[in-house]
Amino acid sequence: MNSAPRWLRRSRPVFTLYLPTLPFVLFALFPLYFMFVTSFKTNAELYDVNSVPFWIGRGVTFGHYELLSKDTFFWSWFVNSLLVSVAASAISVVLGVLAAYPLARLKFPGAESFGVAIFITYLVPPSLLFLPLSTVVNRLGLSDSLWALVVTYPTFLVPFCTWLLMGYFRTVPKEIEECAMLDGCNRLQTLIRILLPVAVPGVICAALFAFTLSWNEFLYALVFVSPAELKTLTVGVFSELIRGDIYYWGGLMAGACIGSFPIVIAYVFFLDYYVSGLTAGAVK
Amino acid sequence: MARPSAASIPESSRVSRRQFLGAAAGGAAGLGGILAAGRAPAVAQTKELTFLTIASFVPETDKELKRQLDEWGAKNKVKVRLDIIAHLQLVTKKAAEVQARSGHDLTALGAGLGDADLYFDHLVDLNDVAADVAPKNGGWLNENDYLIRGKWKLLPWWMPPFPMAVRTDLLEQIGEKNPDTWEDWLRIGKKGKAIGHPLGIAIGQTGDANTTLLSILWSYGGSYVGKDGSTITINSKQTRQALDFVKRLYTEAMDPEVVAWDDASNNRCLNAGKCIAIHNPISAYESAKKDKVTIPGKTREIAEVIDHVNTPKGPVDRRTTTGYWCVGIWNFSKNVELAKDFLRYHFQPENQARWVEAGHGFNLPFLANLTKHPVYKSDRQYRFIPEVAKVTVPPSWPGPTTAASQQVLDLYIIPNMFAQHATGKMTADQAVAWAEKEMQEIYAGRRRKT
Amino acid sequence: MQLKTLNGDVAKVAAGGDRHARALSDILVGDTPVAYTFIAPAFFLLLFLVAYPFALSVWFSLSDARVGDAGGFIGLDNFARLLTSSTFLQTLQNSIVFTALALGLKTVFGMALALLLFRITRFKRLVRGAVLLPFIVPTALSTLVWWWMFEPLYSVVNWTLKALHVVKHDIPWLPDPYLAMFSVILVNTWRGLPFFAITLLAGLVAIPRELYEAAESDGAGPVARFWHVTIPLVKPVLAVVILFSTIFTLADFNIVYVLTKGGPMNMTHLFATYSFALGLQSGQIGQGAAVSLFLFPILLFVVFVQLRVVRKSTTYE
Repeated sequence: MNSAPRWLRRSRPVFTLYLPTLPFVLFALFPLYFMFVTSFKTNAELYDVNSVPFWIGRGVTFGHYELLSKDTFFWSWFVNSLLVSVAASAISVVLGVLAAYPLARLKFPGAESFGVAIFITYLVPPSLLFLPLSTVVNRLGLSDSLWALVVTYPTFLVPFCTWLLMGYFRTVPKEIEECAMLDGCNRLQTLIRILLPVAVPGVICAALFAFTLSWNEFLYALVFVSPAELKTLTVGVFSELIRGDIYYWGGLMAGACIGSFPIVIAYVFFLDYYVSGLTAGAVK
Repeated sequence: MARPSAASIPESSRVSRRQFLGAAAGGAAGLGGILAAGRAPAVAQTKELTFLTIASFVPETDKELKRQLDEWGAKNKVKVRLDIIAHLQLVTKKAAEVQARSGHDLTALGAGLGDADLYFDHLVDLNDVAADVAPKNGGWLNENDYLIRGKWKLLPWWMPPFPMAVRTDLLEQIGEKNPDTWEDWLRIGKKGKAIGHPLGIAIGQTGDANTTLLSILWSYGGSYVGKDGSTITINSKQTRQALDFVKRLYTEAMDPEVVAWDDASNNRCLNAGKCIAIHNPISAYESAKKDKVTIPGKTREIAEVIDHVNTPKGPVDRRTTTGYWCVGIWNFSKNVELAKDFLRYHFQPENQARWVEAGHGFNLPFLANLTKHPVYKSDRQYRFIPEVAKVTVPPSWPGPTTAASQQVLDLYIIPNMFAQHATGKMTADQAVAWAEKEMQEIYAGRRRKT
Repeated sequence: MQLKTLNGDVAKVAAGGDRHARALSDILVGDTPVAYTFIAPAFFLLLFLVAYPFALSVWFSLSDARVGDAGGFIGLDNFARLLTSSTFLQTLQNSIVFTALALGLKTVFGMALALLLFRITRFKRLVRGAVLLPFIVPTALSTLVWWWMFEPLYSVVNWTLKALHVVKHDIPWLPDPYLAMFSVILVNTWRGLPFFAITLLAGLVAIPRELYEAAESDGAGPVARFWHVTIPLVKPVLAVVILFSTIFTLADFNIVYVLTKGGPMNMTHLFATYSFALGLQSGQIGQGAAVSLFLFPILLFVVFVQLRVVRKSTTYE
């Protein structure tokens, strides 16, 4: 029905599809590109108003990265963030799976209230919660240890994981579980052997999200952990590279680059799982 | 969607799930071990002293402090730990530690003496240490300033004096020399702005704005609280004069962006070659030196043409303030005597001298002998710093420091007042009335408690 | 293809005959203790580490507590004082403007991007990954980059505009109250857009193609198809995304704190940043808590309504 010449027809998507997408991609990527480029610029060029900000004119320097590695506990911070994020995500996903299953499948008194209660926890901002929470953390004897974070992070991770997995579980037909139970499995076995394998994309999606949120967290990490070697990445970078009224821009950008790296890698590998996890989780 | 029945789930995936769970359990145990190892070790027999401080502008200062702490710890067989955070985060950390009544033994306090009033019931009395420290160092600069409700609840530790940092080459270019009064600077700013080099005074929600605008207010004879510490004195003729002066400064001598400046913006303005002068400690100059920043378009280093002159004088007075960084001991600490001992050690003349040396004079202690430290003669550009220290008073001057006076600063009431009038949002009367109301609210809230 | 509610599933099974019905009732009877056991860990975690501190926070807001000082009960005094404070009213206005505009931008552009991503066949992974990046880079650090990009003196935006001779002087992105609000909204949109786009994409993927084909054969053009097929079916997903986004956007702290600290002249203060300034920096945690909790009743209501809508959502086979 299209009477235009073939080459125009074939290249139409380029104009109606790829070209409009380009601004979005540029908008998303530009600050990150800028971050990357800035981390390799010399200070002299960084602070020179006349230099072109888009690329490096005066020689690439690894000095900022060296500063990070040698003069700060950067790699310890990196490992700390990794440990805390993995542990907190693992705990949150497990708790989320356990909580989502009854909410998605079972009818029991209090189901609706609990479901709602989970959301309500998000209405209380951490910038308010951290003060009474620090008293609790202290009483548990956890302050100044990474455990404080592993224990407190699930408070904002579990609700989201639960919601996501709830939605995901609902898309899995009930019949397969019912068959398993008729065959003699109890609920736990059904969950682990039947539901989970099918729900892997949802679980991965929840885990990725949890990991991202843990990795980015700043306030609790600042308040509950003081010793320099135990800090997480975001806190450490801020403490060491912002001194009084001087911001070590090169170092900050280098820290931001390295700090984003693991998450980017994780997403590149798991992107499809992530999208399909959201697909089922968001559309009940 | 296909519906697999239980029977059709392959044997292999069932086994792999079990393996997965087993691996997960093992992993969790391993993780637990790693995390436990990362925990600060429980204090056994050895005593431990912990000190929380802010990342100082000159990193060597922190290193010197750590060295002194380690040295003292070795001598007294005490395990020591110095924790550093960014100064903007100190406020969060302090609140959390006080709320939980647990944390560090020694802590940096500030910027400002107000913390001593705010946390009065949580700090140890330091009258004895203050008395011990003073004689060997030529006495405190101004003892009465540091007393909170008549007591030493903290030791004033260091301050960065606020001279005017100026580009001497541009000054020559516009045919000015030896500026001294605020009117001089207005004139210089006007001429500078005409050639693309305006004056740089922050009037935004930032500490530098508090400092400079209070300087201007005092130089016109105004103030915001009276000597009794509770009467609001902002509503006065002198305040209106200061308001009008700042409006002229803003419209004739500066660029509009100063309304959103933060503490680092004026540094950047000077070092980028834009601003002709800023009211700032020597931090801008120091970083220009370190980064070998050049004058735009030239090869000459900008640090060579930056000079520091005395903080400006107004029709009535020459007076300025700055961040009073202090150190205190929490009374929930289990090592109060040890902490006091370290303070005495750190405040010994030789240690103070070394510490100031490490900071290139940026961190000036409140002790008379230290204003004569050789570092202020080493660089010609530092010669006025001790002079500025002599006219530096706490922000609540002429009143004593209280939690309320500190809150006025923390909420940037003064900069907002000046900004609203300078930008034309409010008339002078409206701005003063607004500030007065806000301050009365704050002081009323505080008064209710006592 | 049939439209049915979630309850329809149970009805179908129950109607499937005696054997199924018996099995179903067996399943239902033993459920409650099992359900409680499963939920228990999450429940206790949230009870001790969220509910308890939250109750404390509510107490703070009803008292004149200071840091380290429990204070006494003063009822709704804090809230009353807030309503007379010009700074707080400004904060309220800022928050509404900020949230409304940011949500609007994210919805419109998120939908647009989702539609584009849906139809892209080449470089799919690359494009999706690229578009998702702003969401996954740590906020504290990415906001710093934006700040460096807006800092009037060194701003790359200003440099570009001046180089293209569009403007002569540096545009005061952060000093001007209206531009500051614009900047803050822009950064929030940059960060939140991926979430909208990818989730809406998921919603689009779930729409069965037959619907589009049916509409097309009825003579509907692309716009009509979008309006009558896409939008209604994407509504549940959109509702959920908007709910989450509203909550997170209103509670945003990081962006404003790093970019403007609430200025200039309090014109970009949001609830979280004002609460921080009031509560922590001046030690008046009673008032700080009151600011934070001000919206709580309203948000609670919003959450209830949304959840109602979402739970009754339609499902498709």
